[in-house]
Amino acid sequence: MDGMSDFLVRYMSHSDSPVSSYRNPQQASSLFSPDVCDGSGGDSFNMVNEFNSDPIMNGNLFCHKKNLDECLHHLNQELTSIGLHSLFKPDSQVFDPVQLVNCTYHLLEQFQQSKRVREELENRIHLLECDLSRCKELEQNLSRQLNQSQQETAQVQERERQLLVKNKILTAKLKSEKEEVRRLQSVLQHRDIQHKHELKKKEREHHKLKERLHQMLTDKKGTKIGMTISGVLQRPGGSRGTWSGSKQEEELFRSVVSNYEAKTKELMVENSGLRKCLIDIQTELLADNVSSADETNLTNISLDDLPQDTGQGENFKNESDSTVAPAHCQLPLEFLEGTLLKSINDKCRHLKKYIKNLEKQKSEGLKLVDKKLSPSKEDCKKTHDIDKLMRDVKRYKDIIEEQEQFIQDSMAKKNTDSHVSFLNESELEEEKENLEIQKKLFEEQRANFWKERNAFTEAAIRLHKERKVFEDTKALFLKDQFLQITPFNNKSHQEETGEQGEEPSHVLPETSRQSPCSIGKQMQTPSTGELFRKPSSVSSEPAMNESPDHDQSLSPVSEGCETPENQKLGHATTPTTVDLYQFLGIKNDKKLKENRPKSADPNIGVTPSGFLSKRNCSPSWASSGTRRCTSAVNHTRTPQQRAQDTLSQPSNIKMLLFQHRNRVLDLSDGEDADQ
Amino acid sequence: MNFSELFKQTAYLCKFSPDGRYLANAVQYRLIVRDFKTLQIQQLFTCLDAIQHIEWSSDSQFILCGMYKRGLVQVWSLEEPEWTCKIDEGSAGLVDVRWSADGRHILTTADFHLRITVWSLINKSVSYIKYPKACQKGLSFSPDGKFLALAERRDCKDYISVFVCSTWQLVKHFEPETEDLTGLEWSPNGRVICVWESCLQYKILLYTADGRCIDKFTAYNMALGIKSVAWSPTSQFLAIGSYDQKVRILNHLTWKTIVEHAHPTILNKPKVVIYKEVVSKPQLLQGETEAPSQFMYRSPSRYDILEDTVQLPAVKPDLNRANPKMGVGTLAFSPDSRYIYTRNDNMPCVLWIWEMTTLDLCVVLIQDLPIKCVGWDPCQARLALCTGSNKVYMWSPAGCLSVDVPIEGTFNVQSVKWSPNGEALLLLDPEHMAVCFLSENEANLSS
Repeated sequence: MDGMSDFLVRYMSHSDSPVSSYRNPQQASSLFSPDVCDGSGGDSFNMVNEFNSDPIMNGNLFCHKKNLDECLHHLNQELTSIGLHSLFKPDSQVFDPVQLVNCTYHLLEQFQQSKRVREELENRIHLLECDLSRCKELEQNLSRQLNQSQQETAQVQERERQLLVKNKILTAKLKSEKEEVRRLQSVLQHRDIQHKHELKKKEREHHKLKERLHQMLTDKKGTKIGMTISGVLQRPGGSRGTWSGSKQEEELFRSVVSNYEAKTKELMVENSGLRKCLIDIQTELLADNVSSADETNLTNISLDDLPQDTGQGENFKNESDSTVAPAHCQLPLEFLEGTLLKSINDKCRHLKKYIKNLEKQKSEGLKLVDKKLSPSKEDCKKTHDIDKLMRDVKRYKDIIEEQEQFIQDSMAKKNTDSHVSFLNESELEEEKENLEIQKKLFEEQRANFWKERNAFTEAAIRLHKERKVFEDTKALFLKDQFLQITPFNNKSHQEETGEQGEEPSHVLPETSRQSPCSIGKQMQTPSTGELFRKPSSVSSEPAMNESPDHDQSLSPVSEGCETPENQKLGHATTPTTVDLYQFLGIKNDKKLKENRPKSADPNIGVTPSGFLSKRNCSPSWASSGTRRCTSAVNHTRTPQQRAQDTLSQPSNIKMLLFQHRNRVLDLSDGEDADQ
Repeated sequence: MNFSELFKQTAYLCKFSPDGRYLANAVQYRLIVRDFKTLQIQQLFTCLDAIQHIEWSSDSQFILCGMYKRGLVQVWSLEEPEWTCKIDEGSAGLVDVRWSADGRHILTTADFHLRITVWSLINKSVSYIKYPKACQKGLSFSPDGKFLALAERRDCKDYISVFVCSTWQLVKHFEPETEDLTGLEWSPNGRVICVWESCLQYKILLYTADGRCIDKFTAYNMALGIKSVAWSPTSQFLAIGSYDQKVRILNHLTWKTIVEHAHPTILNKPKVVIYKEVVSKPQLLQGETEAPSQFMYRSPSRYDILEDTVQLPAVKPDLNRANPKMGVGTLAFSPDSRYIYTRNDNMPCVLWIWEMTTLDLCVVLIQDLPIKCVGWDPCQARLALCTGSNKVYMWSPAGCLSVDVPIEGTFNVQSVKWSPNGEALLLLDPEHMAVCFLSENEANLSS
């Protein structure tokens, strides 16, 4: 860059013509193309070097002070000839340095451009050269391959030629061999024929000799030949000889015929046996098939392709056939062949499919098959129940152990860790307070309920009395009516009707007692509860299904009050200790045993509201975990039962009342236990 | 098992009478008839020359003795020892003599199978049957004894003639489809005549008595064919043993093959019981170069049951010689038709017992020596066999046993014959015979 500016300065200083020069080298440099000037210093040095290497710069100069004008003119000419503005002002023919600079700039630009183009071209040439070299390489490769393949082809061709030659030789050999074989065969045949001929000849000769011998023997009759016998014998069995010669053949044919007859008989027996077998197969297959069809329908195995469908159609057709099959089977085989054999084949095919299906089912789900195969559901159920019970027992044992462990742990903790016990105490205090409040609340409620209950009992007693009075009047009225209206023989009848009329009040509760849960259903699905209940089911049942009427008519027993409790038991997800005791037979509480099944019975129309409410209103228990909750309940269970027993007085209180009362009881008891 | 003492005999000529009461045997030119129960000599007949053949008549009353060299036949009666009968074929010669089924006629075959002469003992009449074929079994009586089927050869063709035995008249004469007939046999129920071709061609034909062809059977071509044929006693099966070492069994209704039993050299069937006879040989003492002979020492033998794969001993037959020793040459059904035994001639030590109900191989007996003779008990499924040693072997479905014949000196059993009631077994040495009594109890015990 500096060089450039120097050059300009030098030019300016040497020029005589008024040239406005750029003093600032920066400016001057900015006039040059940015491509050149914005580059690093190295670039500009290159430029300078180029300039230096230019012949203009080295000695043999184009322009010097003396011929500047000429040079300018020459330049002007040259420039104008290549289409640039002239260096001289158009009118005055005065050298214009601006023009020169412009021209120079133009030239430079063009130079740059051409340089770029040249670079590009060079690049392209390079690329092309590369391509060319690659192509050449490829060509070489290909030519090599070509050579190789040509060689190979030549080899193969050579081999083929050789093989062809060999083949030709072999075929020729084969041909000759074949010919040889044929020749030998013919020779063999020839020899065979010849041999046979010779044999025949020999045999004939032999025969002739025999004949001759025979002749000689007969000619030589007399002398020694013959039989000497001291006495003739009787025929075996003493029968005499028969003379009729024609009968002999008859005998033969008779024997042949009898043989045939015997054979026919044998065949008849065999045939009938086979037909019987056929009928058996037919009937057996049919039975199987029907059942299989049913099974497939039941199990909804979707193998009903078109062919199978048509097959089934045929089966149904054949069903009608098979009803007359035993008679049909006596037809000659050619009649049977079409229908019977086809149907049997179809059935066999079906059977195969069915067996396949069965196998599939087996693999898919053993349970389905088990159900099908199990002879009695109850047995299965029982075993299932027993299994379940065993599993439960195990589980409960584990739980008991865990609980005991837990208790032990907690005890130990209480003893050892005072800090924790202190914390616990605070918790307990809090709980206690809570419970106190709740207790008060429930005391109030309890009092209310007691009041209500008393009111109800009073009302019930009143109602009862009124009813009795009504009954009395009714009886009187009926009696009167009866006495007035009927003659004597109607009397008894009337009495009966009267009794019947009275009946419903007794009958009704009885029927209602049984209605809520259908016994048949229970029998079908015996639960563990039922197994336990069986000995005392009758006594406890009425209390379960009480209606207001029923309570009034019968002497009301307050066992109904246990139902919420039972419900609770039934719905408890974690097993209680009472359950465990039941299963393990540790504690033989008959009441509990009676109660449990009731709770398991889904037909009881009482909602377990007591239990739920208890859960809801005691958040502290819930937080301490279900196990603790259950344990609390467990401990209270028996005293509660006792309380219920004592409470079982004549009562006609509604279900709601019991629930509330129980809730109160539960909570109070639970509180006790916690304390 | 009780063994009798040794009796002399020649040429294995010992026969039980068909009723089982007597036992006849020939010693040189003497014929000795013993009471079978006591083995006391009942009769002693002296013939004109050394006896070559003896045969009981069907009613056990007569015995014929054939003296082929002299062309003589002598007949003796048990009931009338004085009664004599002598048949002289003279210059015609004699190669075979036999009783007719009724026991009142004698059929003699002249030299070169020139003719068969029927001698009637009832009326002294003589009938000739010309052109009998010289073959393995060209003569067969129907089981009821009424008919005789005879293979003939005339004009280089085979013929079968059926004669009525009462008058010896020809009732049927037909040409079977054979090139070279080699045997014929009536079925035990008398309904079918089975005819088989010579070994050059496998061909079996079944004819009714009136000459109608019921069926033909050819298992293969271009190889040596049938070697032996046997009817089952119930006529339900026809077993054919052939040179391809197989037994084919045909049924009597469709005459199709029921089963084809091969006789492989390697046995690998888990269900088959394989008994192998194990002979414990005496140890050589110091200074002995060879084991003591049987006079000195009896080597006991027992049966071992082999398991797994068993290689059966077989000999490679010389195929360049005529009548190669290969193929099933011996076979017979048990009297109840439940079993069939076979012997493949290139495994001479092995006896195969096949069960007919399962149509499978049941038992294989591997003997130490080649089997010489096998015979079914005529009353039950039990067989006895001998191998030319001093032992007799028995098999029944219950088991297998080998018994040393407790006789002083050499006694190599070459042949066994059952008594008709199955209670005794006749054991034949080349020069002696002994009777082995098998009482029922003992038979049970032995099994």
